[in-house]
Amino acid sequence: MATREAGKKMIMLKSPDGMEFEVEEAVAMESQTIRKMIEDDCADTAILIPNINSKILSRVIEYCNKHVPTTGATGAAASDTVAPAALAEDLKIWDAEFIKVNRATRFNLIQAASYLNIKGLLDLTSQTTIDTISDNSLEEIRSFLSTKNDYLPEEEQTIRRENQWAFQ
Amino acid sequence: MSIQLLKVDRLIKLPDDVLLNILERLGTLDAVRTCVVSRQTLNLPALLSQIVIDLGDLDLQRKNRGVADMTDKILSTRSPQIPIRNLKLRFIMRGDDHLKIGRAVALAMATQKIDAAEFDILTKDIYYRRSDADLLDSAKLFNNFIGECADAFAGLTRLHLQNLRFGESDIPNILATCKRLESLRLLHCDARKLPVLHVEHARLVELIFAYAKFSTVELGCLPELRRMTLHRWIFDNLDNPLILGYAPQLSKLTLAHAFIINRTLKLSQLLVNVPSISDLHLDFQSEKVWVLPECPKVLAPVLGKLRRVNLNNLPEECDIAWTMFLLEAAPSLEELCITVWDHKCQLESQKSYSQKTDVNWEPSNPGFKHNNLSRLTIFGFQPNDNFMGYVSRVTEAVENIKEVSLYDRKVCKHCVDKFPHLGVRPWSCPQTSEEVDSFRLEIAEVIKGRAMAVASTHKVGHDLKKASDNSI
Repeated sequence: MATREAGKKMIMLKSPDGMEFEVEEAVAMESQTIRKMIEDDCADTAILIPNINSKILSRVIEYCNKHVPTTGATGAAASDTVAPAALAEDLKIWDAEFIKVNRATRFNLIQAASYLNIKGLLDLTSQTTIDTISDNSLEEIRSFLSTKNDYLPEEEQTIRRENQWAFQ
Repeated sequence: MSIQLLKVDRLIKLPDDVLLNILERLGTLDAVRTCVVSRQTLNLPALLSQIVIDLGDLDLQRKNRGVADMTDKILSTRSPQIPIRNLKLRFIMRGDDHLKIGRAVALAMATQKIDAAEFDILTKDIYYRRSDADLLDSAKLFNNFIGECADAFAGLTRLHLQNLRFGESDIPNILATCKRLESLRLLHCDARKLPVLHVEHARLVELIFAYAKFSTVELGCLPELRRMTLHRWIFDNLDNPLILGYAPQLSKLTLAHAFIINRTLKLSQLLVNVPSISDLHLDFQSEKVWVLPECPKVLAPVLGKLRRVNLNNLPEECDIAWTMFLLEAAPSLEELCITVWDHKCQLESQKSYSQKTDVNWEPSNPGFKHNNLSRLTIFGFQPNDNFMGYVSRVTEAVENIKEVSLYDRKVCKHCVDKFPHLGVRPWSCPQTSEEVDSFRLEIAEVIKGRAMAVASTHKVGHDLKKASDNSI
C-alpha cells in the first residue's frame, strides 16, 4: 500500500513467499523496472516481485538503500564535508562486504538485479562472478554455467578439434 | 566444494541475457572458451554484442594465428541482426594473420551494424629492438594491409599503430582511408622524409603520439578534436614542434617531454588558435623546465577557459614560484596540481641531460587576487622556504581556496629497485609527533585557517597510515 510517512512517499513490495517490505519510493526506484511501473501508475497498491524470495529481496533493498543518491529523500550519512571521492570509496568497501555471499545467493542476486534492472547491482554481482571463474578449469566453468558435459564422445572430439585454442 | 552446493547451482539456470551480460565482461576468447563446455551454451557466443580480443604481448606471440581464426569464425557465424556495440582486436602483422582479420572485419562491416571498431596493430618486433630496416619493413607490411583491407579500415573508430617508419604520403593515406576514425595513437613511429606531419580529419576526437619522431606536427582542420597528447615526442625542428590550427573543441592538451635543451615553448604562441583549452597537462620528466613564464597580458587571451592544470615531474631543487604565471593568466583556473619529483626509472642513470636552473619569474602585480582556484595539490612538498613561500603566496592571492593538499615525495618501487640509494634519501616531511605539531602550527599560520590542508607522505605503508592522522 502506497502511504506517506514523514513527507516521503512509501512503496510496498511483496515477495512471492508472502513477505511485505515497505520502502521509500526513491529507494525502490533504484530499480528501473519498478521505476517504470511507478511512472506508468501501475503501483497504487503493493507491487508483487515474482521469482525473488524474501531473503533475496531484503538484500536487494539493502543494496538500494545504500546506493540511493544521498541528495534524495534518505538524507543519509553524507554531509558537506565529505568529498565525493571519499563517499565512492566508502561505497566500494560496503559493496565488497555486501557481495561476500555464497554462490547460490550470488546467482539469485544476479537474477534479481537482472529482472529488476538495477545496473549497479548487476555489475557488482556479474563482475564478482567473472573474478571467480577466470582461469578456472573447464569443470568449474561447467558448474558456473549450471550445466554438464552433454556431448557424445565423438562429438566432443570434433568440438575440441574445432576449438583447439580454447583447450590450450 | 560440497556436492550439495553443486546441486543447488544446477537448480539455478541463469537466463541467456544475464549469461551474455556476464560473458561480455570476459574477453571474447574466454567467453567462447567458457561456452564450448556444453551443447546448451555452444551457440551463446553468436549472440555477443561485444567482441574484444586483446591478448597481452606474450600470449599474442603464441596465439596470433588463433586470434585470426577466432575473429574470422566469430564474425562469420554470429547473428547479423544483433548489432556489434564494440569490436576491439589486437594482433600482430605476421604471415597472413592480419589479412585474414582484415578481410573478416571488412565483410562484417558490409553486412552488420558495428558501432565502434578498434584495431591495435603490433609489429613482429614488439620488444622495441628495431633496426631502421625493421621500421621500414613494418611500414611496408602495414601499407599493404591497409591497401588490401581498405573497407575494414574505413569502418574503424580507433586505430593504434606502433613501430612504423612512414613515407611521405602514408599518414595522409591512413587519415583519408579511415573515414570514421575518432582516435588515432601512434607509438614509436616516425617519418624521416616528412618535414611537416599535417593532420586533418573530419571526425577525429583524440590524437596520441608517444615516442614519435616527427620534425613538426601541424594540426590542420580538426573540427571534432578534443584531446591531444604528445608524450615524449622527439622532433628536429625546435622552433615549431607543434602547430595547432583549427581545432575549436580542443579542450585537453598533454605535453610530456624531457629533451629540449636550450629552447622554451611559449604557450601564448602555441595556443594562439586554440583558446578552448580547459585541461593542460605538462610533464617535464624531471628535466629542465621548457615552458616560458609569460606575463598575463600576453597569455590571458589564450587561457580564458583553463580550469585544470597539472605540472608533472618538475625537477627537484628548483624553485616553483614561476608556476604562479599560470594562475595570473588563467582567471577560471579551479585546480592546480604540481608534482616535484626526480623520477627517472626508465633511464639508465639518474643524471640529467641539462643543468637544472631556477626559472626566472617576477610577479606582474603584487596585489594579485584570484577568485576561482579551489584546490591546490603539491606532491613532493618539503617544509622549506621554496614550498612554504609558494603555499603562502597562493593562499594570499586566493581568498576562497577550499583545499590545500601537501604530500611528500612520491615513491616508485622500480626506482628503488634500480637505484637503491634513492630508497634511503632523507624524508623531510614531519616524522615525529613533535614535528607534526610544529608543522601544523606553521602551515596553519600560512593558510590562516581558510582552507583545509592535508599533509601526508607516500614513503611506506605505516607513513601512509599516519598521513590520515596528519590532517590539519
